Amino acid sequence: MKDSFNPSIEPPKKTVTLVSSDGYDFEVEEEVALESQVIKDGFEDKAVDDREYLLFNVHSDTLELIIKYCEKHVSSRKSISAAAASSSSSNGEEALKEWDEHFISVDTNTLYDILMAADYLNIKSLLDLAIQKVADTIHGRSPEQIRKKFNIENDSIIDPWASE
Amino acid sequence: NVDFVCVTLNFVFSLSCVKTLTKLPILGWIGFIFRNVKYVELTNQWDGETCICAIANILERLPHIEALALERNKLIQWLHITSIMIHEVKWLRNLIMKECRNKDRISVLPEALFHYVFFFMDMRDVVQTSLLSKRFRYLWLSTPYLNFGSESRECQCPAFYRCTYCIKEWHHFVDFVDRVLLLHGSSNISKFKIYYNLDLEATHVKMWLIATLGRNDEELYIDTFGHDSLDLSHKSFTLKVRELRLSYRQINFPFSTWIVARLKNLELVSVKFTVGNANEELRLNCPVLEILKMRKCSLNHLRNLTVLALILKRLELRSLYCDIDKPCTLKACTSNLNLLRCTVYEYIDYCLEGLLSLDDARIGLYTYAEEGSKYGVERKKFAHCLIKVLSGIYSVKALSISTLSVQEKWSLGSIDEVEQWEAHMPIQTRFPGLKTIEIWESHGAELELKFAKLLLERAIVLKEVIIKTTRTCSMDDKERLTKFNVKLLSLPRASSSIKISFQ
Repeated sequence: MKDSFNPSIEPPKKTVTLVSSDGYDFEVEEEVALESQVIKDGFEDKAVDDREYLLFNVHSDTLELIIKYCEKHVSSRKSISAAAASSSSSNGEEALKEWDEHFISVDTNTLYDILMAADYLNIKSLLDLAIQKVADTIHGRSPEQIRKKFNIENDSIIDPWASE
Repeated sequence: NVDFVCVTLNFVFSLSCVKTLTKLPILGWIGFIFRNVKYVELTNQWDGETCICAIANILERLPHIEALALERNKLIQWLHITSIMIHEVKWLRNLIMKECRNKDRISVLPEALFHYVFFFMDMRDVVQTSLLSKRFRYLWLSTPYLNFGSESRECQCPAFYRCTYCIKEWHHFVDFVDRVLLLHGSSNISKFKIYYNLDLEATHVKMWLIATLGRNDEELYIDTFGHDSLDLSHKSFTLKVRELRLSYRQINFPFSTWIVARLKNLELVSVKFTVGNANEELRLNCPVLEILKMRKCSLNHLRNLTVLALILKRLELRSLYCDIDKPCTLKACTSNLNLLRCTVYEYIDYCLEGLLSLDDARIGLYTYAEEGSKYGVERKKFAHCLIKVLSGIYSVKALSISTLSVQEKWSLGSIDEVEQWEAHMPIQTRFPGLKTIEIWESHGAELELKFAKLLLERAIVLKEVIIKTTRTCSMDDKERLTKFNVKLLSLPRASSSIKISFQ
């Protein structure tokens, strides 16, 4: 009944505020925030006007990336299911995979930040993506190359590779 | 030896030599003097425990604190604990992580995350990480995920993996797996995967599997591959395995009934089932099985295969073989199935009943029958099997069908038996929920038309028919497809609004 009064106005989209460790506020749509299992778990218990999350482990630079990832995934999931409903063939999933690959092609420091944030916020798909990237980076490299890539200091007493 | 640097009195100060801060009297004194401090920065190296203690004390004693700056590098390991603690301090709005660029940040990842990285890696790479640094040296020993695989390098030798080089490689591999399992000690294993393109002896594999099963508390994912026969009658299998993917030439299932209490996901590839009991029956009793996939499996020795899985959601049966003289009945007792993929042959009699919640079925037709002596009989048999499957899945919502391989076997003109399909199908069989029909790899053949007729007459709420052509069409094909379309449109329908589209 309420809606029929003024049908032209859409209901405002529900938003959630995420606060990064350095104190920046990010206002995101509810759907996007719910990609994180941690936020989802306690979501219903929180009052509607108190939907603010302090993310002490996530720097604003990283949080921006994470939100970008979640937004992309929410929107493409919608478009894939819409395509499936209308039975029109789409290569939405492949496009998303490509996007993911491009998204995760970052330097090791950023990759590490994303990995920690995904673990902290419990976003399974993003964590898998980041972990896979680390595994791919290690694969096929010699220990010396891995050390260089990740800035690992060699503190082993015996280094069998040193003699070479 | 406490060293304070007060940048702005009472509002900002930095602390170094944090270790001394754990001494409570001193902290009390800080709290007394700097009650109004709003910003605290902790510098210096410390170890986890001491720092948590220090932070806890600071948070407790400085009630007006708004921002806390920490060095990121050393913190990460136990940040989860601290963040829970910090969450309770409502007024702390700002936790500043001081960036330490170009420092080793991977080594401080929690152990669980490292193991997760190892989940995706081959064991050879995993073991190699032990050379990186002290932190890594023993890390791999506690990983619960073991993937043994050979690089997919194709041996070019004419002896087909029998050359000295291949045999040497094989010995290396077996030795490697043995040593890893030995060194891995009593750590928990929850994933065990072996892929090797040479013959692995069953005794080896069995030994490895038993060793793995002995070191597992709850969940186990096994994925192995081999050419020899494997005996699954070991007791541990029935108790522990949660996911099982096997690709074997021969598997000895336990006598007549195989009960696997915790198996959720079963995939059998190229498996030859051995003889069941005297009646040549085998029952798979899997109370919590959700996904069952069987590919290229041979049911030669069986007359009856029964799958008892009440909560099965997904069933895929593709390329199953069977003796021509000895048809096999495959019975699936499940009422929760959502998705069915199967290939229909004349020698495998599917008994699929009570599939009330089936959403999606994809059926491929395949026949061995070729024009010859027993031609007519075989065709009738084929029609019988197909009709049985169709009546079994009557409650399906979306159905896709491919008839390509049948068309290739049978010349396009002779489809008299198809006429009789409807005679085999009870007239009262309807498809009350069927909304979409998809015919893929369509050729515009007569057989497809008959099929469409059969479905169109019986599907009451049908909304859409999709015809997919995959091959690049010649002019001839196009002409046939146009004719097909005209014929399709003129067929009698049970549903009033049907959209037919070509792709």
